[in-house]
This record gives sequence, C-alpha cells and structure tokens, in this order.
Amino acid sequence: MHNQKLKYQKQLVQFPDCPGDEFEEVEKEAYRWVHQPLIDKDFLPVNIISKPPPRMLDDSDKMCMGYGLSMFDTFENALAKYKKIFRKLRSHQKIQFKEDKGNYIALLDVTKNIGVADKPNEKNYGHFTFHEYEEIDLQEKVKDLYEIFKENGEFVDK
Amino acid sequence: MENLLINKEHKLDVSNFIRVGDLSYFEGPMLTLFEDLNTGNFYLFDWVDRDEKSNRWLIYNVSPEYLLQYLSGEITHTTLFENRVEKNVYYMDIDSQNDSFRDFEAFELSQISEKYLPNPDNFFDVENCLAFEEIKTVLTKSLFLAH
Repeated sequence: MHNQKLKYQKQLVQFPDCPGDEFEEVEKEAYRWVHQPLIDKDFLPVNIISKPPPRMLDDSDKMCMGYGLSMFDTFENALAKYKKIFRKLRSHQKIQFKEDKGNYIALLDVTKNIGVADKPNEKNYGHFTFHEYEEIDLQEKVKDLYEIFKENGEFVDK
Repeated sequence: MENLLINKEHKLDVSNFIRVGDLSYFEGPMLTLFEDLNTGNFYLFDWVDRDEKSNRWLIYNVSPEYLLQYLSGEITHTTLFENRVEKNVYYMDIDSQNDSFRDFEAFELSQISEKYLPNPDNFFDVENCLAFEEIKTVLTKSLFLAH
C-alpha cells in the first residue's frame, strides 16, 4: 500500500476505489508517447488537459484512469499501439494525434517513490496506468527519447 | 475544425438515446453505439474532429444487420457508413463544459465533408472494443425481435 498523496487526489476521490488495490509502487522502465522537445502536456492526464477537451459523451466517461498517465511496458508495445490507433484515423486526425500525443516515445525510469501503477495489460500492448505522487516531476525521469517516424513520414522499423 | 454546411431546421432528437457501448475506445470513446428508445433504431457517434474547445461527432443511423457484419469483420467502416439506414447524417460539437451529449444539439449536415468519411480500409478491431459481447447481444436480440 502507498501512503503518499497522489497528484490528482482531489479529482480521484470522486471515484470509488480509485486507484484500485491492484495499484502499487513499482520499479521498472516505462514508455510513454511524448513530444520532442518535451512539453508540460506530455505528463498531464487526459482528463486534466482542457485544450483539446477530453473525449466524453456522458458521465460514464469520467473514469478514474482518465486521471492517470498511459504507459507501456516496452518500446515495441508503445510503438505498436501508437501505430494501431494512428492508422485508423482520418488524415486530419493523424495530424491532430501527432499534435496531441507527440511523435516520440520517452523511456522513463520509474522508481518506487514516484507513484503507483497497475499491471501491464498483456491484451492491450502492455498498457498500464500510472498515478504519480504530488510534487513529482516526471520530465526529470525521462532517460531517453526515441523517434516514432522516419524522416520520410513512415514508421520506424523496430 | 471544418466549416460545415448544416440544415438548422432538421435536428435529431437524442433525448431518449441510451449508450449501448463503445465499438472503439482509447482514452475516451471514438466510435460509440446508441439505441433510440423511442424507435429502437441504432445510431453511431463517430468522432471525426476536434479543436481547442470541442470534440465533433457525426451521428448516423445504422442497421443491426450491417453492424453485426461490421463486428464480424465482413465489412469495412466505409461500407457500414454507406449502407446507413437513413441518408441523413447529423453532427454534434461537445465541449468540456457539459456532462452529457443530451445537453447538445444534433443538426443535420447538408453536405458531408470528404475529410469526415471513414478510412476505406478500416475494419472493426475487437482489441479496441471493451464491451464486444454486450454490444453483440443487444444487436442480435434486436434482430430476433424484429423477425
């Protein structure tokens, strides 16, 4: 169990069991889509970002995980999920997706004292949700940045 | 966002729409199925655009037969769209100030921007659908009741 205050505690308290018991402190490398250079929005949960507003149709979309950060367990999984979503978008949405999510993958050094995570979902490209502790600046945890696209606009080969 | 040609005199009443489930979801709904309780008709809310204030959805009436074919991977999103029950397509811009789609109006489009047409090679992907069985059950039941 964690005892530290989470960064978006004020919003999280509106949901029962949020984050759930399966969330625990972890020590591992994690991968997240970001911009290069990094921008503040790269480490803001979707429900906190107001421009563009989060995609919601009704109250049921106001979920606990919307106040956490999406991460992946490997670079390959982070890239595969990006590709999967990107390819289904309309042309103008592809441009927007790059604007919103960035076109780089950050390698983050996640340590036990910075937040809590659930287990990577093997059925969803090793995706997991990370809730950081108050006062943590995740930009400081970025160890490296990897391109998603080649110069010709195609995806990198990895 | 794209400037739209709309018919303000023709609105879609969404007050009795209930959400069946999301056919595609990532960090929020991308393609969501609703049922109109008044008519039993099914409508898709198809996310097509966004700007700093709103997310834009196209709304169109689809048949359970074609939806089931889409869910089984037999037809593309484009085929599903082209075979919608009514040719009318509506749009709704939802901003972050309100809680529900019911707080917004859906106006008919006089013309559909080509930008908003589905990608021709998009097939249903069960990995992005969290409520696959529930959606299939609702559609199958609807077909059964109709016959």
